Amino acid sequence: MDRLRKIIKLLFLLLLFLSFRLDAQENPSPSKLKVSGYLKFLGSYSLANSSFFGPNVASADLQTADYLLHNRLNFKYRSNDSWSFALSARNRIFAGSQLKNGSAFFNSLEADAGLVDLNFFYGRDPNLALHTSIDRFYAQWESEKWIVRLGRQRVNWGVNTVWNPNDIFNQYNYFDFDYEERLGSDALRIQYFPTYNNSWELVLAPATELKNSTSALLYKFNRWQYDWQFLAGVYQQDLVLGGAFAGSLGTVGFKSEYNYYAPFDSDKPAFLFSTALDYIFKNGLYVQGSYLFNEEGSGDANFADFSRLGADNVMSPRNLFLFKHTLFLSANYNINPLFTLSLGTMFSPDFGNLIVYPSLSYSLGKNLDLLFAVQAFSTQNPLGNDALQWLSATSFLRLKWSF
Amino acid sequence: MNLKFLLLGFIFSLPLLGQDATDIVTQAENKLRGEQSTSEISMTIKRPNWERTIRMKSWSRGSEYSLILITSPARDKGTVYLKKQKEIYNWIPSIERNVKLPPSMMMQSWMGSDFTNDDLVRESSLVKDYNHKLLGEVAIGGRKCWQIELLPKTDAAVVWGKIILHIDQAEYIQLRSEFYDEEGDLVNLMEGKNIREIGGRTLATITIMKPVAEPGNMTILEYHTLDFETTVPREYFTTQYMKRVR
Repeated sequence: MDRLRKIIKLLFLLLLFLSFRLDAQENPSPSKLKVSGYLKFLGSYSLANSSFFGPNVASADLQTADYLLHNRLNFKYRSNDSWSFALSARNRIFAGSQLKNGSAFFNSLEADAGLVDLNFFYGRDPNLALHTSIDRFYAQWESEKWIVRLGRQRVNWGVNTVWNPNDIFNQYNYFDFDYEERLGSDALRIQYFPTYNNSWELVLAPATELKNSTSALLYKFNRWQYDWQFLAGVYQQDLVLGGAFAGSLGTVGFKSEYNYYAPFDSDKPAFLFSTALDYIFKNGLYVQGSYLFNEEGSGDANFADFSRLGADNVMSPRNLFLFKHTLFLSANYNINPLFTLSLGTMFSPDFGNLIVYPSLSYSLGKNLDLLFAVQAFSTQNPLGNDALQWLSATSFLRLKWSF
Repeated sequence: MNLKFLLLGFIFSLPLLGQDATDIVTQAENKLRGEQSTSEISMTIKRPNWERTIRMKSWSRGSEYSLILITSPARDKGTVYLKKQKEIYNWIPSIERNVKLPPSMMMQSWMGSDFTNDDLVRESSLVKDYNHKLLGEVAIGGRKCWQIELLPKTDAAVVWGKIILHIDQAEYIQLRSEFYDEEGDLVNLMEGKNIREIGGRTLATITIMKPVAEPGNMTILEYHTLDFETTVPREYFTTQYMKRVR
């Protein structure tokens, strides 16, 4: 395996070298290289309800305060109409309670290292940690009918808004609002467009161990003003078959997505299905309702399961939420073009719980945005006669400058 | 022989003399809409205490297909909107995904401006969805205009109860349009300004939309470049192309 890693690292270097070579051959003009990104400061404060934990847990352990300075840099270089290269890095400085978890925290940052470890630590100080991770790094060749992309990239096959069974390469966690780009997959991706109405896509994403690799084929087309897609492939140790559509019922948006997993070495298949309706009222109020059926989810969850929802935890595509049945309702309203209010709520009929996620965003300037959000979880308290009580709440304040 | 040509010439020039209101509106609409066009536009949203400007590139093919790429500000750069017939899509570059929007999006304010999506991509048609009546002639900024009243046809799915257009007689430019609600109250006022030649046509390169009930609020749409001669392939107006547009 080490040999494989070495070969891949060498390939990455070759890619880098190739991009410079092409650079030298062409007449470089400043517009060929595009740099963009952002700088964000995120402060978060979290509090848990002591009545869930009994008298042995100190109240200081139920509170956390964290600070994150987060910079993203995207480099895109187009050498001609066919060839382009991309590299994106996120640089983060962490401070606060999370560093007290020591190596567990540092390990969590490297948990999804991929085929090639492109994570760099500059210090593992308990007071301050500095970390760089390269989450996009690819070369792309394209023609009218083909796009071939090799390297670390985001393969996003989801159709629905909150839950995406079809997104088998990198699941999106609704609560992880601060990293919408998601990690990249190290993959070879070939897209073919036979007509403007349909397309084929093949993605091979090898892992350091063959049994963790994912490869799949996707076919997309549009008919009756609906977008349709079907996929088939191998997700780690499962055969996966899936499909989705996006269309409308009158003026209401209507989307559905499903995946079926058949494991090679056991007889425990898994089925996931999500569906959503959305509508925008005349006054600009946007409402959405969604439902997820997740066969692997717990029909008998308890409050400890919520800890798996933490911002850095990625749920697996085979089991993408905590519960078997979950309902989601959200509303979004622009008070004016600068000021947006939104509210997301989730609950599961399997288990007494309610998740409430309100947020306010305000545009302070052309490229300066302020966000305030709260994620509050309430559930049945086993120490309090199973009454519905709030379990924990985290508030976030974020300032973002885009460039 | 000569007489025959003279007669033919007379017949062809007839509509110009006694123009029918529907013809005038049709000509004014066609003036803005090339069979195919590309343009660079900026949109400024003005409020009493602040303003924001968005710059974009736009491609269109008839009224059925349009594609808009946001080029500034940085936080929205690379965002793409596609309208193909009744379907609307939004490409979000940060998550590398294409989101299909509900059809009810059409009647919404576009990116917080005083224009609706429908104003920009013209799902409804001033020609097809309304009955037209010539009210008279007025002068606006020294230019002679036809004043035309538009009342929606009974089966038309439109927002307005009445529209009064003022169309320049020399160049068929919409100099001033008044949009009334179903109660007959004036809601929006649209003005065409900065008339000059662009893309081989004489047009108002600045359009200002003012909501009458909110003084100090307005949205200014300005064409920086406009080309009607270009070829925009049908392939541009596809979800495949949205991620490749630049």
